[in-house]
Amino acid sequence: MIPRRPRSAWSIRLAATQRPGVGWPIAMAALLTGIAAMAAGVIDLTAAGDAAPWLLWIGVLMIGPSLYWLWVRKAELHLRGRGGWASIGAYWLALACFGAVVHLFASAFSMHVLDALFESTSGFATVGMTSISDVDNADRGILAFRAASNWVGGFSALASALVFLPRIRRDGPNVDDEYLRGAGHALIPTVRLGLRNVGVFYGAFTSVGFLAYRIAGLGWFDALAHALSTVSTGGFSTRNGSIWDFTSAPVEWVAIVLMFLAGFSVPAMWWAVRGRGTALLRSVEVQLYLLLILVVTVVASVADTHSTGLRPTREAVMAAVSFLSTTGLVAFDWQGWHVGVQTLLIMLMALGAMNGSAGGGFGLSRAMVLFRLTLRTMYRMLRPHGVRVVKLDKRTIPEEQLRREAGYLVLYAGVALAGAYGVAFFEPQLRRSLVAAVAAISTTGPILGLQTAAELSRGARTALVPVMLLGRSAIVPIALLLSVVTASTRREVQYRLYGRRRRPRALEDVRP
Amino acid sequence: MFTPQRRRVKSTTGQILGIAMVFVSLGLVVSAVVELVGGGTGEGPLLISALVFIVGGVLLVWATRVGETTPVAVFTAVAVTWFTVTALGSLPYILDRTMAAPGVTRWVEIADAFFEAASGFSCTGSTVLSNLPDLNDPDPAIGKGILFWRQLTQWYGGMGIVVLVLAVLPALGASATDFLAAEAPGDTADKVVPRIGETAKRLWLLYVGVTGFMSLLYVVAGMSIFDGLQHGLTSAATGGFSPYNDSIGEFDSVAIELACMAAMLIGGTNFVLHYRAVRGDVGVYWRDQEFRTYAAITAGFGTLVIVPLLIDGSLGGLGTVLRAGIFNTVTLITSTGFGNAQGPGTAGDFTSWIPAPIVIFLILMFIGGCTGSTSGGSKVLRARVLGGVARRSLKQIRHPRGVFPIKLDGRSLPERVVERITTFIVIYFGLAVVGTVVITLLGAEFQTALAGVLSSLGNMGPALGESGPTGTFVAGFNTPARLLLAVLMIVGRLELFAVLLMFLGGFRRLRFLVPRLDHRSRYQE
Repeated sequence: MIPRRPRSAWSIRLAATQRPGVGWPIAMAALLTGIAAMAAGVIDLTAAGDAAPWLLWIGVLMIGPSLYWLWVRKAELHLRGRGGWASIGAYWLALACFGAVVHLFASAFSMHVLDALFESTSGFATVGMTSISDVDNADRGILAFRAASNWVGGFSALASALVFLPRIRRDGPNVDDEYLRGAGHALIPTVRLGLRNVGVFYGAFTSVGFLAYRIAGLGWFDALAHALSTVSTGGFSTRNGSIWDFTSAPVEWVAIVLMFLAGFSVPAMWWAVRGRGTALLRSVEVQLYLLLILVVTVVASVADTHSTGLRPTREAVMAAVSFLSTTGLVAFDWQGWHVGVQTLLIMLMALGAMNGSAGGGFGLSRAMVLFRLTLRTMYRMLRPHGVRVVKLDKRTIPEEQLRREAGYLVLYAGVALAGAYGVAFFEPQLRRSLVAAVAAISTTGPILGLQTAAELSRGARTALVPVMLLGRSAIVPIALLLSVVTASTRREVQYRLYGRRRRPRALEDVRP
Repeated sequence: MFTPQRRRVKSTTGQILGIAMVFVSLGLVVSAVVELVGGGTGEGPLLISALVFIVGGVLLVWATRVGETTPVAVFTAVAVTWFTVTALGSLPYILDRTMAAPGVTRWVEIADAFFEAASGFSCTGSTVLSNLPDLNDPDPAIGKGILFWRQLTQWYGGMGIVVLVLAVLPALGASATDFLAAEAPGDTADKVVPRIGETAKRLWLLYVGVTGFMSLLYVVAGMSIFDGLQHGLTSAATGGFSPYNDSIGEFDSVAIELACMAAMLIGGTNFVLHYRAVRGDVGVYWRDQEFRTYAAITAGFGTLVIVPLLIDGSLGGLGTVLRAGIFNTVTLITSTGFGNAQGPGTAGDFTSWIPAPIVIFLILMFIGGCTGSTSGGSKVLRARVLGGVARRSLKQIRHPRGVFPIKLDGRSLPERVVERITTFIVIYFGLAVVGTVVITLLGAEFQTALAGVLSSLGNMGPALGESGPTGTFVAGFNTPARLLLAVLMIVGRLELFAVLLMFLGGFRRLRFLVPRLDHRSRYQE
């Protein structure tokens, strides 16, 4: 028998049951939020800002108990069955709540609770909508925390998609196995190493982004904040007019390249870094990503009649890359563009980035799978006895996955429409409500007809909070967390009402 | 020895189209009679069109015989029949110059005539006519015959032209079921009797009966007999054309609106259920899961429409809100498209409402009525199955080894049907997205384009913006956009697959895009 390697202090303790355990995700969310708050506090100290003490204190208050819970109480990470899904859901909810607390402290409680929740959710969900009407004059610490929340959200999305969910689902990751385990260059060999690899990759990418912005002419703080929010596809900026305010072509080109890479699949980039880049171009998802950018660029640059020289092309590329990668950084006035191009951009944001990236949206590979499923159904209608499979990149897609993707389409559309209905309660314009919901669920950010989300009413912004969280977590974890909580509550209520004799069947659902 | 059968060309499409044209010509003759009886002088265009239909139809029937009945042939026959009848059905408008207006070229008139015909046969109810008469108009700009033809196009389209053909064409044999399924709303064709020809006959007879009942309902509610008949024709078809400018709102009568709502709800229900109810089994409605869902959606979404209107309070008191909210909910869930507004900006004009109920209307435009009814949209049954698909995807995650069939009326639906429904929705979404992008690129406003595409695909009628219940599609869309919407109406009426497969059927690459199952594959069905 092979002896098990002794655990180091940094090992992640995996629970052996399917029971939902939310201690680890909540503690980890508090730890990451606390670190982000402390980092923002330190940055604020350098600028002699007012928020520094608040940020440092709340950072300590969050880091302390979370470290105690993780390392002294030895909280376990639940990654089996529904417990795993519930853990992911709890993690996202906890991030949003802890972030709201930080915003409340950082603003010395001058911010409305709902605004703080909105700002925090928008940050961690990498949406980039803001309730702060004057970003230019906001405290540097708050801006730093917003950028850091984007970064943490992007990393969490990657870790969730590449490390945790494949482990929970046990049916392989969404991206091809070869991406992850091929050619001896395993990206995700174990949970811990996978997290390390993804973290190193993400950190290196951020550093490159920071240097690129700095070389392009941004100050160190602007470069850092924009690097954090670009690589995470978050889209928070330190200026009211986003990166447009810098009026610098090099900065815009850096943003375009970073957003393009941020919407790219991390396993695919890992593959490319390992010297197998040419194989990438054979991937249908990569081809679709490039094709969409090309088509939208051409259409938008043709339709842009306001600018001259290279500007229309740069604006068009930026629009295509920004919306497809769901980043939402803009250096153009898309409000004044042709309504057809605006619609194209809205559809692009709903479609979203590549699978395995920090970007949100429906997902290009999902769209491709459903397209292939459509072709198969039509083929079957013509040849009812024909037996055909759905393949993507020479890989047969299991029937269960086909059903799952179809179900996800319904859930995605349902959440978007419910969000639009919620926003429409408070907003006078239908178009604004629809676009706000799409921008929230796809985690993109910009809303057609508005400069910032601060122009939305508070009620409308609050209605967007659950949409953003569901969109970022790909709906299922939070939906399952709610179902587990509901089942558990129902069991408790029924137990108290009827006692032991009439224990309901629903118990079976929540038992390990 | 002379055998006429041998000299005929084998063409199922020609045979079906020919018979359909003969049937449609009868409507033109009736419309010409209406024009004459009404004291008009516009019978000429109607009679010439009738002649074209009769001669063309008889020639086709004489020269062709039923040939291939493969799936591609079936879809092609149905789609070609619909497009041809629609195109020829615009002849009366073109000859009568119904669409003529200052600054409108002849080509635009032809395009608009096609739009009006497509809107009629597909039971959509969108219109380009802004000069429809008022209730007591002494000098209407459009003759009664043309207006009656307009109503009749919807009546023909309601139950389906091909279904009518099936009633008299025994040569199709067993493949008649495929024709019925290709045209009928829903994923399968419900037969009321074993023989498909007999089923088609009985369904049409029932349709005539329902139309008569609805006309009577309108007359009892206060309409004249002729108005009752005209509105009965389009209510049974859930089409929504009215010969008056303000649609049902022209009458400004609660009784007529109640009658209209009852008629629309009947039209939006599966006609097989009506058939069984007429045969004495009235409880069949409540036993049918789709009907129960239909009732629940109508009630639930009606509430979601009314609550924000009541909270907003700008529309008026409870009575006004209930009247406007319920009527518009029913008209959209049944895909009829009648309006009860007395003019732009009045209570029934939902384009002037706050956006929350309009979001619900967009959802209703997508859902539509029951399968086997005359209504459009993606159908309640499909919406229910989609809900099941979403629930199953969550259940499957909780219990990876569980088997969760999607059930309807207590029976598991075959996976192929579920897959077909899922695919239908994917194509529906795809067409809605592409259509909206193209129409906005052609210059329409975003929400007008989105609503216009959803309205056309779902055969609803009104859109948003200037093309709302009190406007016309001329105001919101330019000519190319209207032509595209007209095509989408027919594509939507034939439930997408017939038209798509007519084009894709011969596309050999389809089989390469969908690889064959091989034994090495991990796939297991």
